[in-house]
Amino acid sequence: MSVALQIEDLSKHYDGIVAVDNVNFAIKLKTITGIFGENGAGKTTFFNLISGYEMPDKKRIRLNLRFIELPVYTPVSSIKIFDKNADLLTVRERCLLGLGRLFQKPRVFNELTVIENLLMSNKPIKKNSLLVFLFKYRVVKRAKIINSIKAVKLLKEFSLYSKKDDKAFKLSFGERKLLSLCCLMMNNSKLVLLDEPFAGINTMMIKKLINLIKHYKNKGVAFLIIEHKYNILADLCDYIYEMKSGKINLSHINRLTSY
Amino acid sequence: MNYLIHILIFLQIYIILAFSLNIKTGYGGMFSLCQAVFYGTGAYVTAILLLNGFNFIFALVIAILINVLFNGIVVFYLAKRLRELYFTLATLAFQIIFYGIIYNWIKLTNGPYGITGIPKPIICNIEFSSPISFLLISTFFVLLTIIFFYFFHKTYLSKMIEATRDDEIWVNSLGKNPNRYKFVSIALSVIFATISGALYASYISYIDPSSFTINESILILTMVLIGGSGNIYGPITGAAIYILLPEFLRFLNFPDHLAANFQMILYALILLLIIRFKPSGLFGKFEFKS
Repeated sequence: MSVALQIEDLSKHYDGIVAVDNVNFAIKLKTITGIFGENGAGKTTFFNLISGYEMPDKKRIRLNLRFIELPVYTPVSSIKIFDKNADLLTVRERCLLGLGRLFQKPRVFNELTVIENLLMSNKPIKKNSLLVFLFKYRVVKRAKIINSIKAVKLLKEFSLYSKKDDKAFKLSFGERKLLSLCCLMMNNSKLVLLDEPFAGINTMMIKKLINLIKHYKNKGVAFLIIEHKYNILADLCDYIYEMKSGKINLSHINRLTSY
Repeated sequence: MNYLIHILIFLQIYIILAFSLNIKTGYGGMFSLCQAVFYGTGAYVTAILLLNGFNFIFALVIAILINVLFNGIVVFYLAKRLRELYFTLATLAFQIIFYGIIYNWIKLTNGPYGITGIPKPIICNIEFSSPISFLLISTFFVLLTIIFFYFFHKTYLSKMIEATRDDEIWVNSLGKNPNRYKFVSIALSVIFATISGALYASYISYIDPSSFTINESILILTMVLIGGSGNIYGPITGAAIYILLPEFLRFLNFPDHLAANFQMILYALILLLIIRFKPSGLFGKFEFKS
Protein backbone atom coordinates (compact mmCIF):
# COMPACT_ATOMS: atom_id res chain seq x y z
CA MET A 1 0.00 0.00 0.00
CA SER A 2 1.38 3.33 -0.93
CA VAL A 3 1.49 6.34 1.28
CA ALA A 4 -0.91 9.21 0.69
CA LEU A 5 0.56 11.74 3.04
CA GLN A 6 3.98 11.71 4.64
CA ILE A 7 4.89 14.14 7.37
CA GLU A 8 8.36 14.56 8.80
CA ASP A 9 9.27 16.80 11.71
CA LEU A 10 6.22 18.98 11.43
CA SER A 11 6.04 21.64 14.08
CA LYS A 12 4.29 24.90 14.70
CA HIS A 13 4.50 27.30 17.57
CA TYR A 14 2.71 30.52 18.41
CA ASP A 15 5.22 32.62 20.29
CA GLY A 16 5.88 30.53 23.40
CA ILE A 17 3.13 27.98 22.89
CA VAL A 18 4.01 24.88 20.94
CA ALA A 19 0.89 23.77 19.11
CA VAL A 20 2.32 20.95 17.03
CA ASP A 21 5.58 19.43 18.16
CA ASN A 22 7.82 17.43 15.81
CA VAL A 23 5.16 15.19 14.40
CA ASN A 24 6.20 12.27 12.25
CA PHE A 25 3.24 10.70 10.64
CA ALA A 26 2.00 8.95 7.56
CA ILE A 27 -1.35 8.04 6.10
CA LYS A 28 -1.75 5.15 3.72
CA LEU A 29 -4.03 5.24 0.75
CA LYS A 30 -7.47 3.65 1.18
CA THR A 31 -7.43 3.65 4.97
CA ILE A 32 -9.24 5.49 7.73
CA THR A 33 -6.98 7.04 10.32
CA GLY A 34 -8.30 8.56 13.49
CA ILE A 35 -6.71 11.00 15.89
CA PHE A 36 -8.31 11.73 19.22
CA GLY A 37 -7.30 14.09 21.94
CA GLU A 38 -8.58 16.66 24.33
CA ASN A 39 -9.32 20.28 23.53
CA GLY A 40 -6.22 22.29 22.82
CA ALA A 41 -4.10 19.28 21.98
CA GLY A 42 -3.29 20.87 18.62
CA LYS A 43 -5.55 18.75 16.45
CA THR A 44 -7.08 21.59 14.48
CA THR A 45 -3.73 23.32 14.05
CA PHE A 46 -2.39 20.04 12.71
CA PHE A 47 -5.23 20.00 10.17
CA ASN A 48 -4.61 23.60 9.22
CA LEU A 49 -0.96 22.80 8.58
CA ILE A 50 -1.81 19.85 6.36
CA SER A 51 -4.47 21.66 4.39
CA GLY A 52 -2.38 24.79 3.99
CA TYR A 53 -4.22 27.41 6.02
CA GLU A 54 -1.19 27.89 8.22
CA MET A 55 2.48 27.67 7.46
CA PRO A 56 4.62 25.27 9.52
CA ASP A 57 7.88 26.28 11.21
CA LYS A 58 9.85 23.56 9.54
CA LYS A 59 8.73 22.63 6.12
CA ARG A 60 8.30 18.92 5.72
CA ILE A 61 5.04 17.71 4.30
CA ARG A 62 4.89 15.38 1.39
CA LEU A 63 1.68 14.73 -0.43
CA ASN A 64 1.71 11.73 -2.62
CA LEU A 65 -1.62 12.33 -4.22
CA ARG A 66 -2.45 12.75 -7.82
CA PHE A 67 -5.97 13.16 -8.87
CA ILE A 68 -6.83 10.45 -11.26
CA GLU A 69 -10.22 11.31 -12.66
CA LEU A 70 -9.71 14.49 -14.61
CA PRO A 71 -12.54 16.64 -15.85
CA VAL A 72 -13.26 15.86 -19.45
CA TYR A 73 -12.39 19.30 -20.71
CA THR A 74 -8.92 19.46 -19.21
CA PRO A 75 -6.28 19.71 -21.88
CA VAL A 76 -3.80 16.95 -21.10
CA SER A 77 -0.78 19.17 -21.52
CA SER A 78 -1.88 21.39 -18.69
CA ILE A 79 -1.86 18.77 -15.96
CA LYS A 80 0.85 19.50 -13.46
CA ILE A 81 2.17 16.77 -11.29
CA PHE A 82 3.52 17.99 -8.01
CA ASP A 83 6.36 15.91 -6.72
CA LYS A 84 7.79 18.61 -4.58
CA ASN A 85 7.05 19.13 -0.93
CA ALA A 86 3.49 20.10 -0.32
CA ASP A 87 4.22 22.80 2.19
CA LEU A 88 5.11 25.15 -0.64
CA LEU A 89 1.69 24.68 -2.20
CA THR A 90 -1.31 26.87 -1.55
CA VAL A 91 -4.66 25.59 -0.38
CA ARG A 92 -5.91 25.53 -3.96
CA GLU A 93 -3.00 23.54 -5.32
CA ARG A 94 -3.37 20.99 -2.54
CA CYS A 95 -7.01 20.67 -3.48
CA LEU A 96 -6.04 20.04 -7.08
CA LEU A 97 -3.83 17.22 -5.88
CA GLY A 98 -6.83 15.62 -4.23
CA LEU A 99 -6.72 16.84 -0.66
CA GLY A 100 -10.15 17.75 0.67
CA ARG A 101 -11.02 19.19 4.01
CA LEU A 102 -14.31 19.17 5.86
CA PHE A 103 -14.57 22.01 8.35
CA GLN A 104 -15.95 21.63 11.80
CA LYS A 105 -18.72 24.07 11.06
CA PRO A 106 -20.22 22.76 7.84
CA ARG A 107 -19.49 25.09 4.98
CA VAL A 108 -21.99 25.26 2.15
CA PHE A 109 -23.11 27.92 -0.28
CA ASN A 110 -26.22 29.02 1.57
CA GLU A 111 -28.08 30.80 -1.19
CA LEU A 112 -27.52 28.17 -3.85
CA THR A 113 -29.62 25.05 -4.20
CA VAL A 114 -28.23 21.68 -3.20
CA ILE A 115 -27.57 20.56 -6.75
CA GLU A 116 -25.93 23.87 -7.60
CA ASN A 117 -23.71 23.46 -4.57
CA LEU A 118 -22.47 20.21 -6.04
CA LEU A 119 -22.03 21.55 -9.55
CA MET A 120 -20.07 24.54 -8.25
CA SER A 121 -17.73 22.35 -6.27
CA ASN A 122 -16.49 20.36 -9.21
CA LYS A 123 -12.81 20.57 -10.09
CA PRO A 124 -12.02 23.90 -11.70
CA ILE A 125 -11.49 24.21 -15.38
CA LYS A 126 -7.77 24.37 -15.88
CA LYS A 127 -5.46 26.36 -18.09
CA ASN A 128 -6.53 27.30 -21.60
CA SER A 129 -10.02 27.27 -20.25
CA LEU A 130 -11.09 30.38 -22.14
CA LEU A 131 -9.99 28.85 -25.43
CA VAL A 132 -11.73 25.62 -24.56
CA PHE A 133 -14.85 27.56 -23.64
CA LEU A 134 -14.88 29.57 -26.84
CA PHE A 135 -13.98 26.95 -29.39
CA LYS A 136 -14.92 23.61 -27.91
CA TYR A 137 -18.53 24.24 -27.07
CA ARG A 138 -19.49 20.60 -27.46
CA VAL A 139 -16.73 19.41 -25.17
CA VAL A 140 -17.84 21.80 -22.46
CA LYS A 141 -21.45 20.83 -22.92
CA ARG A 142 -20.62 17.13 -22.67
CA ALA A 143 -18.61 17.82 -19.53
CA LYS A 144 -21.57 19.64 -18.05
CA ILE A 145 -23.87 16.72 -18.73
CA ILE A 146 -21.38 14.27 -17.24
CA ASN A 147 -21.04 16.48 -14.18
CA SER A 148 -24.76 16.71 -13.61
CA ILE A 149 -25.15 12.95 -13.97
CA LYS A 150 -22.39 12.50 -11.41
CA ALA A 151 -23.99 15.06 -9.09
CA VAL A 152 -27.34 13.28 -9.21
CA LYS A 153 -25.66 9.96 -8.52
CA LEU A 154 -23.83 11.39 -5.53
CA LEU A 155 -26.99 13.00 -4.16
CA LYS A 156 -28.77 9.66 -4.33
CA GLU A 157 -25.92 8.01 -2.44
CA PHE A 158 -26.05 10.69 0.23
CA SER A 159 -29.88 10.48 0.27
CA LEU A 160 -30.19 14.19 -0.36
CA TYR A 161 -31.83 13.74 -3.74
CA SER A 162 -35.32 14.64 -2.52
CA LYS A 163 -33.99 18.04 -1.46
CA LYS A 164 -31.98 18.81 -4.53
CA ASP A 165 -33.84 22.01 -5.38
CA ASP A 166 -33.90 23.41 -1.85
CA LYS A 167 -31.65 26.24 -0.82
CA ALA A 168 -28.75 24.93 1.22
CA PHE A 169 -29.54 27.05 4.27
CA LYS A 170 -32.85 25.23 4.65
CA LEU A 171 -31.08 21.96 5.37
CA SER A 172 -30.49 20.81 8.93
CA PHE A 173 -27.06 20.95 10.53
CA GLY A 174 -26.39 17.26 9.88
CA GLU A 175 -27.58 17.44 6.30
CA ARG A 176 -25.30 20.38 5.70
CA LYS A 177 -22.41 18.26 6.94
CA LEU A 178 -23.43 15.54 4.52
CA LEU A 179 -23.68 18.08 1.71
CA SER A 180 -20.21 19.38 2.55
CA LEU A 181 -18.78 15.87 2.34
CA CYS A 182 -20.74 15.30 -0.86
CA CYS A 183 -19.09 18.38 -2.38
CA LEU A 184 -15.67 16.97 -1.56
CA MET A 185 -16.60 13.70 -3.24
CA MET A 186 -17.77 15.64 -6.28
CA ASN A 187 -14.38 17.30 -6.21
CA ASN A 188 -12.67 13.88 -6.51
CA SER A 189 -10.78 14.21 -3.26
CA LYS A 190 -8.48 11.30 -2.59
CA LEU A 191 -7.60 12.20 0.97
CA VAL A 192 -10.30 13.79 3.10
CA LEU A 193 -9.60 15.47 6.40
CA LEU A 194 -12.65 15.41 8.66
CA ASP A 195 -12.61 17.90 11.50
CA GLU A 196 -14.90 16.48 14.19
CA PRO A 197 -17.53 15.20 11.77
CA PHE A 198 -19.66 13.60 14.49
CA ALA A 199 -20.00 16.62 16.73
CA GLY A 200 -23.50 17.97 17.12
CA ILE A 201 -25.44 15.50 14.98
CA ASN A 202 -27.86 12.79 16.03
CA THR A 203 -27.23 9.05 16.18
CA MET A 204 -29.05 8.24 12.95
CA MET A 205 -27.00 10.78 11.09
CA ILE A 206 -23.80 9.48 12.69
CA LYS A 207 -24.63 5.98 11.44
CA LYS A 208 -25.33 7.33 7.98
CA LEU A 209 -22.06 9.26 7.97
CA ILE A 210 -20.09 6.21 9.16
CA ASN A 211 -21.63 4.07 6.42
CA LEU A 212 -20.77 6.69 3.82
CA ILE A 213 -17.18 6.96 5.06
CA LYS A 214 -16.79 3.19 4.88
CA HIS A 215 -18.36 3.13 1.44
CA TYR A 216 -15.94 5.71 0.10
CA LYS A 217 -13.01 4.04 1.78
CA ASN A 218 -13.77 0.96 -0.30
CA LYS A 219 -13.85 3.17 -3.36
CA GLY A 220 -10.30 4.27 -2.66
CA VAL A 221 -10.56 7.42 -0.61
CA ALA A 222 -8.35 7.86 2.45
CA PHE A 223 -9.77 9.57 5.52
CA LEU A 224 -8.15 11.32 8.44
CA ILE A 225 -10.57 12.01 11.27
CA ILE A 226 -10.11 13.97 14.46
CA GLU A 227 -12.54 13.48 17.33
CA HIS A 228 -12.82 13.92 21.04
CA LYS A 229 -14.38 10.54 21.66
CA TYR A 230 -12.47 7.34 21.29
CA ASN A 231 -15.62 5.20 21.03
CA ILE A 232 -16.75 6.30 17.61
CA LEU A 233 -13.28 6.03 16.16
CA ALA A 234 -12.76 2.55 17.59
CA ASP A 235 -15.07 0.68 15.25
CA LEU A 236 -14.49 2.93 12.25
CA CYS A 237 -10.76 3.44 11.91
CA ASP A 238 -7.95 1.23 10.75
CA TYR A 239 -5.41 3.19 12.77
CA ILE A 240 -5.99 5.31 15.84
CA TYR A 241 -3.48 7.64 17.43
CA GLU A 242 -3.69 9.91 20.40
CA MET A 243 -2.61 13.52 20.23
CA LYS A 244 -1.45 15.13 23.43
CA SER A 245 -0.02 18.63 23.80
CA GLY A 246 1.15 18.78 20.21
CA LYS A 247 2.60 15.29 19.99
CA ILE A 248 1.14 12.26 18.31
CA ASN A 249 1.67 9.12 20.29
CA LEU A 250 2.61 6.60 17.66
CA SER A 251 2.46 3.66 20.04
CA HIS A 252 -1.25 4.00 20.54
CA ILE A 253 -2.52 1.88 17.78
CA ASN A 254 -5.79 0.08 17.40
CA ARG A 255 -5.44 -3.05 15.35
CA LEU A 256 -2.69 -3.01 12.84
CA THR A 257 0.99 -2.76 13.38
CA SER A 258 2.89 0.48 13.30
CA TYR A 259 4.99 1.64 10.42
CA MET B 1 -44.19 64.94 -24.29
CA ASN B 2 -40.59 66.03 -23.98
CA TYR B 3 -41.05 65.92 -20.24
CA LEU B 4 -42.06 62.26 -20.39
CA ILE B 5 -39.17 61.41 -22.65
CA HIS B 6 -36.80 63.19 -20.30
CA ILE B 7 -38.04 61.14 -17.36
CA LEU B 8 -37.83 57.96 -19.38
CA ILE B 9 -34.22 58.62 -20.36
CA PHE B 10 -33.30 59.31 -16.75
CA LEU B 11 -35.08 56.18 -15.67
CA GLN B 12 -33.10 54.17 -18.17
CA ILE B 13 -29.79 55.66 -17.07
CA TYR B 14 -30.59 54.76 -13.49
CA ILE B 15 -31.74 51.28 -14.43
CA ILE B 16 -28.33 50.61 -15.96
CA LEU B 17 -26.68 52.02 -12.85
CA ALA B 18 -28.79 49.88 -10.56
CA PHE B 19 -27.91 46.81 -12.61
CA SER B 20 -24.25 47.70 -12.44
CA LEU B 21 -24.36 47.89 -8.66
CA ASN B 22 -26.49 44.77 -8.48
CA ILE B 23 -23.80 42.59 -10.00
CA LYS B 24 -21.31 43.73 -7.39
CA THR B 25 -23.54 43.98 -4.35
CA GLY B 26 -26.28 41.50 -5.06
CA TYR B 27 -24.32 38.73 -6.67
CA GLY B 28 -20.86 39.46 -5.34
CA GLY B 29 -21.96 40.47 -1.85
CA MET B 30 -19.67 43.49 -1.80
CA PHE B 31 -21.63 46.25 -0.14
CA SER B 32 -20.01 49.26 -1.77
CA LEU B 33 -20.60 52.98 -1.58
CA CYS B 34 -18.53 54.05 -4.56
CA GLN B 35 -20.72 53.43 -7.58
CA ALA B 36 -20.73 57.16 -8.35
CA VAL B 37 -16.97 56.91 -8.88
CA PHE B 38 -17.43 54.56 -11.82
CA TYR B 39 -20.40 56.57 -13.02
CA GLY B 40 -18.47 59.83 -12.74
CA THR B 41 -15.30 58.54 -14.35
CA GLY B 42 -17.38 57.23 -17.23
CA ALA B 43 -19.09 60.57 -17.62
CA TYR B 44 -15.91 62.66 -17.40
CA VAL B 45 -13.76 60.53 -19.70
CA THR B 46 -16.52 60.35 -22.30
CA ALA B 47 -17.17 64.06 -22.04
CA ILE B 48 -13.52 65.00 -22.49
CA LEU B 49 -13.08 62.62 -25.42
CA LEU B 50 -16.29 63.80 -27.08
CA LEU B 51 -15.21 67.43 -26.73
CA ASN B 52 -11.94 66.52 -28.44
CA GLY B 53 -13.87 65.23 -31.41
CA PHE B 54 -13.81 61.50 -30.88
CA ASN B 55 -16.54 59.14 -31.91
CA PHE B 56 -19.09 58.23 -29.18
CA ILE B 57 -18.49 54.47 -29.38
CA PHE B 58 -14.72 54.96 -29.34
CA ALA B 59 -14.99 57.30 -26.36
CA LEU B 60 -17.15 54.76 -24.56
CA VAL B 61 -14.67 51.96 -25.13
CA ILE B 62 -11.74 54.09 -23.93
CA ALA B 63 -13.76 55.17 -20.90
CA ILE B 64 -14.50 51.56 -20.05
CA LEU B 65 -10.83 50.63 -20.35
CA ILE B 66 -9.64 53.53 -18.21
CA ASN B 67 -12.33 52.88 -15.65
CA VAL B 68 -11.56 49.18 -15.32
CA LEU B 69 -7.81 49.70 -15.25
CA PHE B 70 -7.81 52.44 -12.63
CA ASN B 71 -10.95 52.37 -10.51
CA GLY B 72 -11.71 48.69 -11.03
CA ILE B 73 -8.25 47.64 -9.90
CA VAL B 74 -8.41 49.87 -6.82
CA VAL B 75 -11.76 48.48 -5.75
CA PHE B 76 -10.62 44.96 -6.51
CA TYR B 77 -7.61 45.46 -4.28
CA LEU B 78 -9.89 46.71 -1.51
CA ALA B 79 -12.21 43.74 -1.99
CA LYS B 80 -9.29 41.34 -1.87
CA ARG B 81 -8.11 42.64 1.47
CA LEU B 82 -11.23 43.80 3.28
CA ARG B 83 -14.53 42.18 4.19
CA GLU B 84 -18.06 43.41 4.71
CA LEU B 85 -18.27 46.62 6.73
CA TYR B 86 -14.57 47.39 6.39
CA PHE B 87 -14.88 47.16 2.64
CA THR B 88 -17.87 49.51 2.75
CA LEU B 89 -15.86 52.07 4.72
CA ALA B 90 -12.93 51.81 2.33
CA THR B 91 -15.18 52.39 -0.67
CA LEU B 92 -16.68 55.37 1.11
CA ALA B 93 -13.18 56.80 1.45
CA PHE B 94 -12.51 56.08 -2.21
CA GLN B 95 -15.68 57.95 -3.15
CA ILE B 96 -14.62 60.98 -1.14
CA ILE B 97 -11.12 60.94 -2.63
CA PHE B 98 -12.63 60.79 -6.12
CA TYR B 99 -14.83 63.78 -5.40
CA GLY B 100 -11.81 65.67 -4.12
CA ILE B 101 -9.89 64.90 -7.28
CA ILE B 102 -12.54 65.95 -9.78
CA TYR B 103 -13.29 69.04 -7.73
CA ASN B 104 -9.69 70.19 -7.62
CA TRP B 105 -8.11 68.98 -10.86
CA ILE B 106 -9.14 72.14 -12.66
CA LYS B 107 -6.97 71.62 -15.76
CA LEU B 108 -8.69 68.40 -16.66
CA THR B 109 -12.19 68.63 -15.24
CA ASN B 110 -12.67 72.38 -14.94
CA GLY B 111 -13.30 71.92 -11.26
CA PRO B 112 -16.57 73.06 -9.75
CA TYR B 113 -17.57 74.93 -12.93
CA GLY B 114 -18.01 71.63 -14.70
CA ILE B 115 -17.65 70.75 -18.35
CA THR B 116 -20.12 72.43 -20.67
CA GLY B 117 -21.19 71.93 -24.25
CA ILE B 118 -20.66 68.18 -24.48
CA PRO B 119 -21.79 67.17 -27.98
CA LYS B 120 -24.57 64.71 -28.55
CA PRO B 121 -23.48 61.28 -29.74
CA ILE B 122 -22.98 60.77 -33.44
CA ILE B 123 -23.12 57.15 -34.55
CA CYS B 124 -22.80 56.25 -38.25
CA ASN B 125 -23.15 59.91 -39.23
CA ILE B 126 -26.53 60.20 -37.51
CA GLU B 127 -26.64 62.79 -34.78
CA PHE B 128 -28.86 61.82 -31.89
CA SER B 129 -29.66 65.35 -30.79
CA SER B 130 -33.40 65.41 -30.19
CA PRO B 131 -34.72 63.76 -27.02
CA ILE B 132 -36.64 61.14 -29.00
CA SER B 133 -33.61 60.04 -30.93
CA PHE B 134 -31.58 59.94 -27.74
CA LEU B 135 -34.27 57.71 -26.27
CA LEU B 136 -33.42 55.23 -29.02
CA ILE B 137 -29.80 54.98 -27.90
CA SER B 138 -30.60 54.72 -24.22
CA THR B 139 -33.28 52.12 -24.89
CA PHE B 140 -30.75 50.15 -26.88
CA PHE B 141 -28.30 50.17 -23.98
CA VAL B 142 -30.96 49.33 -21.41
CA LEU B 143 -32.17 46.39 -23.46
CA LEU B 144 -28.56 45.30 -23.88
CA THR B 145 -28.08 45.43 -20.11
CA ILE B 146 -31.29 43.59 -19.31
CA ILE B 147 -30.68 40.88 -21.89
CA PHE B 148 -27.10 40.50 -20.73
CA PHE B 149 -28.11 40.05 -17.12
CA TYR B 150 -31.02 37.81 -18.04
CA PHE B 151 -28.63 35.34 -19.62
CA PHE B 152 -25.84 36.00 -17.17
CA HIS B 153 -28.14 35.00 -14.33
CA LYS B 154 -28.17 31.42 -15.61
CA THR B 155 -24.48 30.94 -16.22
CA TYR B 156 -21.90 29.02 -14.27
CA LEU B 157 -19.96 32.23 -13.73
CA SER B 158 -22.82 34.01 -11.98
CA LYS B 159 -23.43 31.02 -9.72
CA MET B 160 -19.75 30.98 -8.91
CA ILE B 161 -19.86 34.68 -8.00
CA GLU B 162 -22.79 33.93 -5.71
CA ALA B 163 -20.87 31.03 -4.22
CA THR B 164 -17.96 33.37 -3.50
CA ARG B 165 -20.37 35.71 -1.76
CA ASP B 166 -21.70 32.91 0.41
CA ASP B 167 -18.44 31.32 1.48
CA GLU B 168 -15.07 32.46 0.24
CA ILE B 169 -13.02 29.97 2.26
CA TRP B 170 -15.02 27.05 0.96
CA VAL B 171 -14.55 28.21 -2.64
CA ASN B 172 -10.84 28.40 -1.99
CA SER B 173 -10.66 24.98 -0.42
CA LEU B 174 -12.55 23.48 -3.36
CA GLY B 175 -9.64 24.56 -5.53
CA LYS B 176 -10.97 27.74 -7.09
CA ASN B 177 -9.69 31.25 -6.87
CA PRO B 178 -12.29 33.48 -5.20
CA ASN B 179 -10.43 36.62 -6.23
CA ARG B 180 -11.01 35.82 -9.87
CA TYR B 181 -14.76 35.85 -9.37
CA LYS B 182 -14.56 39.03 -7.34
CA PHE B 183 -12.66 40.70 -10.15
CA VAL B 184 -15.18 39.58 -12.75
CA SER B 185 -18.07 41.00 -10.77
CA ILE B 186 -16.28 44.29 -10.17
CA ALA B 187 -15.25 44.60 -13.80
CA LEU B 188 -18.80 43.97 -15.03
CA SER B 189 -20.05 46.50 -12.54
CA VAL B 190 -17.57 49.09 -13.81
CA ILE B 191 -18.44 48.44 -17.45
CA PHE B 192 -22.15 49.05 -17.00
CA ALA B 193 -21.65 52.05 -14.75
CA THR B 194 -19.41 53.57 -17.44
CA ILE B 195 -22.12 53.09 -20.04
CA SER B 196 -24.64 54.95 -17.95
CA GLY B 197 -22.10 57.67 -17.18
CA ALA B 198 -21.45 58.17 -20.87
CA LEU B 199 -25.16 58.36 -21.60
CA TYR B 200 -25.65 60.87 -18.81
CA ALA B 201 -22.81 63.12 -19.96
CA SER B 202 -23.92 63.25 -23.55
CA TYR B 203 -27.59 63.63 -22.72
CA ILE B 204 -27.30 66.47 -20.18
CA SER B 205 -24.34 67.96 -22.10
CA TYR B 206 -23.09 69.49 -18.86
CA ILE B 207 -21.41 67.70 -15.97
CA ASP B 208 -20.00 68.97 -12.71
CA PRO B 209 -18.68 67.26 -9.56
CA SER B 210 -21.93 67.71 -7.65
CA SER B 211 -23.57 64.94 -9.72
CA PHE B 212 -21.05 62.39 -8.48
CA THR B 213 -21.08 62.81 -4.75
CA ILE B 214 -21.61 60.29 -2.01
CA ASN B 215 -25.34 61.08 -2.19
CA GLU B 216 -25.43 59.63 -5.68
CA SER B 217 -23.75 56.43 -4.48
CA ILE B 218 -26.20 56.10 -1.66
CA LEU B 219 -29.11 56.72 -4.02
CA ILE B 220 -27.97 53.91 -6.32
CA LEU B 221 -27.44 51.60 -3.38
CA THR B 222 -30.90 52.40 -2.07
CA MET B 223 -32.43 51.55 -5.43
CA VAL B 224 -30.81 48.13 -5.37
CA LEU B 225 -31.80 47.64 -1.75
CA ILE B 226 -35.44 48.53 -2.31
CA GLY B 227 -35.85 46.51 -5.47
CA GLY B 228 -34.02 43.55 -4.05
CA SER B 229 -30.62 42.38 -5.11
CA GLY B 230 -29.38 39.26 -6.82
CA ASN B 231 -31.99 39.09 -9.58
CA ILE B 232 -33.06 41.05 -12.63
CA TYR B 233 -36.41 42.48 -11.51
CA GLY B 234 -35.10 44.22 -8.44
CA PRO B 235 -32.95 46.94 -10.05
CA ILE B 236 -35.68 47.85 -12.54
CA THR B 237 -38.28 48.18 -9.79
CA GLY B 238 -35.96 50.06 -7.49
CA ALA B 239 -34.95 52.57 -10.13
CA ALA B 240 -38.55 53.00 -11.24
CA ILE B 241 -39.76 53.71 -7.71
CA TYR B 242 -37.03 56.22 -7.05
CA ILE B 243 -37.26 58.08 -10.33
CA LEU B 244 -41.00 58.04 -10.95
CA LEU B 245 -42.35 58.62 -7.46
CA PRO B 246 -40.95 62.16 -7.01
CA GLU B 247 -42.44 63.11 -10.35
CA PHE B 248 -45.94 62.46 -9.05
CA LEU B 249 -45.24 64.90 -6.24
CA ARG B 250 -45.02 67.60 -8.87
CA PHE B 251 -48.76 67.40 -9.37
CA LEU B 252 -49.52 67.90 -5.68
CA ASN B 253 -48.54 71.59 -5.96
CA PHE B 254 -46.25 71.84 -2.98
CA PRO B 255 -44.49 75.13 -2.54
CA ASP B 256 -41.00 74.98 -3.98
CA HIS B 257 -39.11 75.27 -0.73
CA LEU B 258 -41.00 72.30 0.71
CA ALA B 259 -40.94 70.01 -2.31
CA ALA B 260 -37.28 69.00 -2.07
CA ASN B 261 -37.55 68.28 1.64
CA PHE B 262 -40.71 66.31 1.16
CA GLN B 263 -38.98 64.22 -1.48
CA MET B 264 -36.23 63.26 0.97
CA ILE B 265 -38.84 62.40 3.61
CA LEU B 266 -40.60 60.17 1.11
CA TYR B 267 -37.35 58.40 0.17
CA ALA B 268 -36.57 57.78 3.82
CA LEU B 269 -40.09 56.54 4.49
CA ILE B 270 -39.93 54.02 1.66
CA LEU B 271 -36.55 52.81 2.85
CA LEU B 272 -37.72 52.42 6.44
CA LEU B 273 -40.84 50.52 5.39
CA ILE B 274 -38.82 48.18 3.22
CA ILE B 275 -36.27 47.52 5.94
CA ARG B 276 -39.01 46.85 8.46
CA PHE B 277 -41.26 44.62 6.40
CA LYS B 278 -39.14 43.06 3.69
CA PRO B 279 -35.44 43.42 4.44
CA SER B 280 -34.38 41.56 1.33
CA GLY B 281 -36.11 44.10 -0.94
CA LEU B 282 -39.23 43.74 -3.05
CA PHE B 283 -37.92 40.98 -5.29
CA GLY B 284 -34.81 40.08 -3.38
CA LYS B 285 -33.88 36.72 -2.04
CA PHE B 286 -30.81 37.66 -0.11
CA GLU B 287 -30.36 40.04 2.81
CA PHE B 288 -27.31 42.22 3.17
CA LYS B 289 -25.00 41.19 5.94
CA SER B 290 -23.38 44.47 6.77
